[in-house]
Amino acid sequence: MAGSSPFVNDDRSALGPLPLFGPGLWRREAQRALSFPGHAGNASFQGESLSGGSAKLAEEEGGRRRESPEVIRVGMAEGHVTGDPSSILAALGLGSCVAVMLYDPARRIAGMAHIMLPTSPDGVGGPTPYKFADTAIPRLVEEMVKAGAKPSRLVAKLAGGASMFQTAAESPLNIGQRNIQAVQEQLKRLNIRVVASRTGGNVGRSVFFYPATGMARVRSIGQEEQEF
Amino acid sequence: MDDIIGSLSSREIDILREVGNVGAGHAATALSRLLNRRILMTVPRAFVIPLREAPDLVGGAETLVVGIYLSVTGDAPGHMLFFAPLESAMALVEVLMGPQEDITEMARSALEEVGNILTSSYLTALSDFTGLLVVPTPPLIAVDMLGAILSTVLVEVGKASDYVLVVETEFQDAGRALSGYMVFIPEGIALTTILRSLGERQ
Repeated sequence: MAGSSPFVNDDRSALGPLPLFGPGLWRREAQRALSFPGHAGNASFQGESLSGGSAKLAEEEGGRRRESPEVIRVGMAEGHVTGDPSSILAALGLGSCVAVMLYDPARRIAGMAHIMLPTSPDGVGGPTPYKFADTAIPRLVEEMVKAGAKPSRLVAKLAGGASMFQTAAESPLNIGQRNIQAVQEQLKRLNIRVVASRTGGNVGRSVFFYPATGMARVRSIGQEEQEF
Repeated sequence: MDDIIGSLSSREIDILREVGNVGAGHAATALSRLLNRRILMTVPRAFVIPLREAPDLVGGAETLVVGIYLSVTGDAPGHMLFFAPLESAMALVEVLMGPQEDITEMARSALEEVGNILTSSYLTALSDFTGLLVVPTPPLIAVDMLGAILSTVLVEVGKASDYVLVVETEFQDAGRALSGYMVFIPEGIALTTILRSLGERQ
């Protein structure tokens, strides 16, 4: 038991309630997520993304504050489609998960699915079709079409699918590669071309997808942020 | 598909927290003996959250951490992750091996061993408490974003559930130079087994 060691403090309340866990923290994280690339610190990109953007956006000129874009966090096993050019789709801390980003350049409709596993056990995906590559991609395409995208115009970008731990290829932890394969198969089946990807390797990634341009940015620890 | 994790009662979650309390107490003792200094621990917390929220635990998905992962096999399969912010992990290595420039191979090895010792103590206590046989696999280390590490660990849980049960404890030394988190994530199937072993479920 804890008390048997002279070094362990029996009075656990001595540490006090720590603010590090719990819903309070998640709220804090949601705020932190606003420090995404393209916001504030990257003026050149802002200009780029705003050119031809919707009238809803106020340009940042002469110190006037422009409307800050809405960051839509796409969590594990979630998917989201938007045609709002001022929004940004974001998947933070991708490990073995894969973010699939679909884009209709003519209509500027963007979608992102945050996929965890290659195949659903029942082929349907239950309440979370976005969890599995085989159900997530057809569902994402369906939602894109509902939002006005045309399937034949869709192009895809991929990020994630890393091996975070050095393990045998068949280890369940090494699911990243299988996720990527499953995603590629589904996209091929639906005739959607993969135009760019930042996948594999052994680094975690955060990815941001911009409906205004179809551009994506990826960041990893210790590496320069990349546009792709 | 029955979602065991999503349908746990609050009483059952309390019991699982107590299991975590016993385990973490042992792990804290092991850590204090290893480092020869006083270690404080928080009262463990146990909570069920949707998968999508899990990577945001403890400081956020993009926080740079050193994570040591051990898979738990046996009667109550699950996952054990010990992680610490990079500075804290470096401080831990310094206590064990003297000042280091970087997370070298030796430092990684030392940290893996710390994860091994903590997890083994935790699981021994869990085993004594429940009478179940639980065995950890060798430790694996990653230095990266917490969300990337945690989400990879959660893949197995995600196969059977849309929720995750997290039993977490924070350890700190008195000077707060060292701090680390121990997170126990049982598989859904293990929850039934653990609760049964304690006479909580038929």
